[in-house]
Order: sequence, then C-alpha cells, then structure tokens
Amino acid sequence: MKKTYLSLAAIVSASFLAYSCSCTTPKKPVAEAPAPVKQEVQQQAPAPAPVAQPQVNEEQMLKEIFQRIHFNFNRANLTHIDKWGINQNVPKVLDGIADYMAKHPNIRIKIEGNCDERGTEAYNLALGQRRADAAKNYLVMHGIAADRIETLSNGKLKPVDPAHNEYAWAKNRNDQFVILSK
Amino acid sequence: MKKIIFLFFAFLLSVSGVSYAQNYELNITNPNYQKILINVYNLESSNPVLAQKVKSVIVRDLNIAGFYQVNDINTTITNPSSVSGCNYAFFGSVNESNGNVVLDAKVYNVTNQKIVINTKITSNNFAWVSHKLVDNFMLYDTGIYGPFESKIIFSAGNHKVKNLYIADFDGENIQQITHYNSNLLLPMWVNNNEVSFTGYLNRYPSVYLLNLSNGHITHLSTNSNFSENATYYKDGLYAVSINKDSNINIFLVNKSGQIVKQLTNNHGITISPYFTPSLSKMIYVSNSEGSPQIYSLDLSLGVSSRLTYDCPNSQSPAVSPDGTKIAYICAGSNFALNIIGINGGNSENIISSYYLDSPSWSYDSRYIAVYGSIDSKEGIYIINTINGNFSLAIGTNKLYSDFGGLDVSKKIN
Repeated sequence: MKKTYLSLAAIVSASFLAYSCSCTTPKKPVAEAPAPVKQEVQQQAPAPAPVAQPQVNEEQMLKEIFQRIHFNFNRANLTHIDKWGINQNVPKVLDGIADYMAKHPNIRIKIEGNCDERGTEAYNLALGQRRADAAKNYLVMHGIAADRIETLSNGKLKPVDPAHNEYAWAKNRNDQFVILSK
Repeated sequence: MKKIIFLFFAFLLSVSGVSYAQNYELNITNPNYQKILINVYNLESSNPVLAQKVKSVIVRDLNIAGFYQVNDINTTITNPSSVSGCNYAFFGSVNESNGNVVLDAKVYNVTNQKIVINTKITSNNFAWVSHKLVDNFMLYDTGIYGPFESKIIFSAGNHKVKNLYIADFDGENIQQITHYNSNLLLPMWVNNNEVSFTGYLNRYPSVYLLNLSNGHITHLSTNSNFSENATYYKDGLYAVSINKDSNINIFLVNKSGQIVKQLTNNHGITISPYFTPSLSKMIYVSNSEGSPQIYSLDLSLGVSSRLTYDCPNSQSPAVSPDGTKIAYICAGSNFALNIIGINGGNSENIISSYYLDSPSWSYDSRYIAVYGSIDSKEGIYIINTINGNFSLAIGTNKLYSDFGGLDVSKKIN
C-alpha cells in the first residue's frame, strides 16, 4: 500500500517538478513588462489612444501583489520558502502588500489561512487561523490598520491542489488574500 | 534439612502455579488468537422481512465486535442439541406487538450443551433489540457488557458542505439531523439530547449547541473570529478553544458564550479539551513546545504535564470512559491511532493508515470509532483495541464522500 503511494507520489512529483518550474516562480507583473522604447524622435506624432488594457493590467497586478503566501509543514512563521516546487520570499510578498495598502487607504482585505491534509480537522482549523493571523500581524506591524484586515481559517477545507503528495501539500499550505473593497 | 527441601518444593510449586495462571490469563484476554465461532440461525416469525432485518443486525454486531467468526445460517432450529462445529448458536423468534418489536432469543453454548441466554427483548426499533441481545451475549462471553447501545454523531458531506448525522454504533439507522449549506464539523455529545459542533454558520468557524429534540441551535458566541471544540465540563460550562490575541487557548464559557475562566495560557495553538470522567484533569493538545503534543492539566493544582513523546504530531485525544487510557492520532504523511495510559507511558499503536481522525471511545472502553481511510476505503471504522480488529461501519455514498468529525455517545437506555 505504502509502496503504491510512494510510486504514485514519484510520478506525480515528476510532473509537478515540470509544473513548478513554470508556475511557482513569481511572474513579472504585466505593467512592468514592456521595455522602455526610444520614442523621442517621433514626438511629433500624437500619442496613441489608450487601449482598453489597463483594467486587465490592474487585475493582473493586484493578483500578483496579493498572491498567496506559503508555509512550511505544520508552521505559521513567515519565511523564505524554497521546497517542493515553491520558491517564495514570503516577507517580501507581504512588504509589497503593505506598500500597496498604504498607498490605497480604502482597500480592505480578508486573509484566509489554509492547510494541507496532513493533520486532524481540529488542528488544521487552528493552524489555518494562526497562519492568517501571522500575515495580518505582519501587515499591522508595517503600518496597516488592523480594522482593514479580516482573518478566516479554512483549515484543510479549500485545497488548491487535491493531489496527495508533497508538491500538492506545499501549495495547499497558504494564506489567500481576498480584496473586500477598494 | 527436611525444612529446606519442603521450602524448595513449595517455591517450585508456587512458581509453576504463577506461570500456569499467566498462560491461562493470556488465552482469555487475547481472543484474537482464535475467534469464537458462532452460528446465527434464522428467527421464526410471522413477518419474515422483520426476522431477516433483526438477524442481519445480530450478525453485523457480532462481526463488528471483532471477537467472533459468524456463520449466517439460512435455516431455523428448534432443538440446538444437534448443533456442532461452533461454540455458540443464536436462535429464537421475533414478532411485532403493539408497534414494538419483541425478540425472544436464545443462545446455546455448544461446548457445555447449555442454553446460556434465554431472553425476551422489546423495543420500538428492530435494530435495538439486536443490539441488546449482542450486548448481553458479550457480557456473558467476555464479562463486560457490549458497546452497541450507543449512537455516533458524525459530520459528513463533501469538501464544500458537511452536515450532521446520527447512526447506531454499528452504523445502522443513519439519520441526517442538519440541512445547512455550510460546513458543520467536530460534533460532540453534551448529553443524549444535545450536541455541540463547530460550524461556519456565521462567517467564522464558531461553536454551537444543537438541541436534538427541537432542532434549536444556540451560538456559543465568544466575540472571537475563531472558536472550536466545545466540550461539556459541568454546571452548564463548556471548554472551548478560542482565538484571543492571535493565540488559541482553552477557556470555560457559559451557555451565553461569556468567558468564565481561562484554563490554558500558551503561545500558539492549544485545542481539543477532553475531561477525565472524574473531572480532575483536562487532556488537550498544544504546540507550545514546537510541535503538537498531548498534555494533561491537573484542574485543582493548575499544573500541566506533557504526555506524548513518541510522535512528532500528536493530536485529537480522547479519554476512555473508564478513565485509564487516552487514544490519540499521530498525524503526518501516514496516520496512526495510538493509546497511552492516562498519565502517559504504555504507548501502544492500534492501527496505522493513510488517514485517521477523531477517535472516540465506546462506553465499555474497549472500542474506538474513528473516521479515515483504511485499505483505501473511506469511512467510519469501529476498532477493537484489544485485538486490533477493525470493521467499516459507515462507508461513503452519494450523500457524503468526506467526513469532518465524530463522537460516540454514552450508553442509551
């Protein structure tokens, strides 16, 4: 039985390795993507009318800023994660969120703490809360008013990846940021 | 010299007597060496459907008990003296009278050629007469009354919605008792008429009480965005794990949700309170030393001691009703159901599997109901802690593929 799981895990692991290379490295925000173009020589020409892109870009940018942050197994501390296909500097992501919230004082968020399946229902509910609170406390310490941030534990009820292996578990140990109002 | 020879022989005799006694004890207290063979015969009845139902519950309960190998014999007998090839024979008749089921049951001891149980059991529920017969037989056979006159409350559904259900201890008579479009988890019996649970009925996970006779739900509101595990203590007080200042600790709250006393004051997670039957100690889980472990708090002295050291993730403790043992889950890549003594030590692994959660003892302190996945089959299992026998009592079906907690009631009269 155990062997079956191990071989399954190995197969899934291999596919996730490929997946993780493409997906877990934070993508550059679309807004920053275009390289500066030398347009000085063509200054006489009127500037092109803005295409209906900004909304998409803003959405993409918010998605990037408010990306899920990840945790080590059974932990709620905010640290650099470099394991099982996740490579993320968690404090740096939170700094980005704090900066954005500082510049946009009307934005309110909810942080939902999530866990992998390797714990009991009761323990994971509590661990999810600790993870959400850890991120909230970080943001508060960086100047964001506590009443702008709600926290909620999902325990292990909302896995991102339903697979049963280290790569799925690593993805499922996260805080999700939900924007309540802008 | 004569005295010395006498003493020497007396010593030899006493030593051999002790070793003989130990062997004899070993055989009767470890029935897994050889299961007792039982023939269960058809019950005579004017209602063959009822007779078949009653018989099938008898067979089911005997199988779940884990001590017996049951032969379901498709014939009736009137004279048991002709029976051979088994240790016991169950036979008799069942009928209906004034809306009740009346089971006139006999158990024949084939070895001693004696009727050892001759009883008439009446109940308004066909399964209950079978449970009572098997419990009485187990009292005769093992010296301890059987566990089947209890109910399991459990949370089941899918990953989005889970509701509460009640079933007999063997998984018969399943009834859905809540119908919310939400997750209702970690149910616990308060008494035969009230259960507590942790639910997402109002934005955050919070503890509630459900009155089973009128369906009324009371929110044990604690002014916190997180509370779970309402365990009844006494005098209308419940031990609840509450998030306060980003640490989750255990508090005593009254029915209005007001905090009466803080029982633990740890950094991190402190959850899953469970009281010993004498109410002198509270067993709980805390990760205050890094990883979750089981602790015992002496409620009169206010002193805590750590009980588990063998497992890096010890969770979900449950104290046996006789107050001598604690079952808990060792979580991780694989899960294990372990038992330790009430003061720690004597650690014993009962079963290991892919996933196990929410162990809960039967009132006879011999069986544990637990949910999880054993041999790739999800469901609620009944585990005999004496010989490790396990049986699937409630499997997954169209209504539920996921479980979210369970609790076994005390004996229901």
